[in-house]
Amino acid sequence: MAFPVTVLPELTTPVYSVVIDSGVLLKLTRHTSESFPATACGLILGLDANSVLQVAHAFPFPPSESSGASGSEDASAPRSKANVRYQADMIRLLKEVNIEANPVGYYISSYLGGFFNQALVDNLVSLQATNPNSIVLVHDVTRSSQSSVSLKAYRLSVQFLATNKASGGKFSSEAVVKNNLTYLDILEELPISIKNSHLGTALLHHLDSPTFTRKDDPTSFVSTSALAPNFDSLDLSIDPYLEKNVEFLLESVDDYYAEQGTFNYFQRQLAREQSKIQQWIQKTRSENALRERANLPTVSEEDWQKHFKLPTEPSRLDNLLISAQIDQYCKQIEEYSSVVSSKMFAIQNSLDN
Amino acid sequence: MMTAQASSTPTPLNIIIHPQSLFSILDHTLRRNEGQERVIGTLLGQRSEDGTEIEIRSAFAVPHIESAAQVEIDMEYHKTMYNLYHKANPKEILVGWYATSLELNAFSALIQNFYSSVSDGTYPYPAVHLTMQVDPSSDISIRTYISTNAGVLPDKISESCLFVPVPNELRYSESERSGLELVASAKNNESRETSIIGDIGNLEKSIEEVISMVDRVSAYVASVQDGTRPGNAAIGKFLLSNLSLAPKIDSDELEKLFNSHLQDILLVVYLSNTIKTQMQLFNSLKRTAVIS
Repeated sequence: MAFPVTVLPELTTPVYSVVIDSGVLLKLTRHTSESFPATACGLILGLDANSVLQVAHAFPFPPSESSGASGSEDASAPRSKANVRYQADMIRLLKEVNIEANPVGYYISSYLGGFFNQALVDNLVSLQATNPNSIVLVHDVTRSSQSSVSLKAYRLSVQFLATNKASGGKFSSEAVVKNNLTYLDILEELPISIKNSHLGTALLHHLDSPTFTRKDDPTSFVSTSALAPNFDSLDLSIDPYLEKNVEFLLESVDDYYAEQGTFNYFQRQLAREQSKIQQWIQKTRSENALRERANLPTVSEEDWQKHFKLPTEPSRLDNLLISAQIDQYCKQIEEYSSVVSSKMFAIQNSLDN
Repeated sequence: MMTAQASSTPTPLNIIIHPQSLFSILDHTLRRNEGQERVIGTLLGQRSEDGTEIEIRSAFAVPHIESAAQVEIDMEYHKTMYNLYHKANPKEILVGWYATSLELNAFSALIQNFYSSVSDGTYPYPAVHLTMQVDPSSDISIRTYISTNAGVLPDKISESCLFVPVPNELRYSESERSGLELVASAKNNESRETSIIGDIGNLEKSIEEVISMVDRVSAYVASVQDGTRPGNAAIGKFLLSNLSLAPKIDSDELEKLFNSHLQDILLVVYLSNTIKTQMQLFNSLKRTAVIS
């Protein structure tokens, strides 16, 4: 896959890939799968060096106190005041045990890929302001329970940050077009690799060795090693996953149309105001002609601004986010179907023989 | 036979360890200061209703200084860190402590008493002590103990206790399992690194494993038939019972089922492709509308 080209203004060298420590991966997946279906959030710490971001440690944020918190509240956890204090305390303590406690981003759990929201953008903007190499690790809990771990690392793209700065957070249409920002360019993905320490490798070998199996029941031939392969991915049922995905997709399409509706409303308002302004300008022009003849002071045509107020353009950010979300759902469906259709064709072939 | 003094509190009969805590302990070992032989930390987890099962879910390190004559643990650190962890995971409570060397000496007794103490220890339940040998020269072994008071002299009671070994096992949930599998796939690589494989890659791996298992079984059966290997009646019966589990459905029925299944998937894929194309069209239209 083509690596994104990032040009950063400061002295930090851009980062092109992410290396995660195995302990961090386990901690992350455990926290996110345990707080399912609520969104889980936490901070990741590490080091960025040699154009590789190494994630060495992570800790979860405490769940927000308000009961029945909506997903967006939890997702904005990295910036809530209580959590900033928690984070500072945690970092101070971790430094005492020689853990390099340098925040490099945060992780969130997502339910079937629905993580494109305002909170994500806000968090990343504030994080990337301090450290341009900050990433967000998104762990999709529903997909991980079926097959391999679905973990992705994202970072806001350069075009997005430029548009954000240029339009002061309002994302007007010209800023979007000038910076060449499409909904596909909001986030850029970074490749991830998992690294084990030497001791970790030794532990894994120890777990895999047959002496570790405790249940030596002579009549059972099932392997009970801790690392026995997982065959859940060979399961054939598609309905729950696919159904949910399509449901979310349709919801996003509805949201898209709602947002489109507001934008169209704005455009109609704008057109109406402009036609009113034109009429007024015509009127003053004819009045001015009359006044000149009567030697009275003319009214400048530019004064329309005092009488009329143009409606402000709504931010295009929501539109971009919803489009990116729809794209994400479609991609997920496609990936899923490729796996299922290969399984189906394989079985059909074996049945025909 | 020593019996526990506080006979009303149940003693744990089984300890369940989550692999994530083991990795944390190893991580801490790697980061220890120069000259420190062993490192110490706190174990957090859950206790079952009747107290017979303890689950160790996570661990954090506590700085400590150890010399021949005395041992010092930063208790403040332990308390603050425990509070922070407890805020993030209200269900996890203090269950014990760990050390990374197998030996149990007087210092272990002292620390054990601290952890079992009334004020902020695990009283009235006994604290669990986990020792893990991380010496690179020998195999990693994990042992768990609980302590009972081996009262020798009343004034030396804080320094002596009897460590009773308790059986332990490793357990993990479904989602942890895929994470563990991913991590384990790197164990045979030179660089100890592995990247995240997508769904198709995972499917391929599973199928390859099944094929290799089937090959092994068929080779075994062939060799038994040839007479080169003695057959085992138990294995034979097991294989027979498993193979007869394949359902007997009419092949036409089966084909119809499969086709409808496949059609469902293809329909949804077509729909999502249409939506994606439409989004892209909208996007390019918007841009031209603004420019003009």
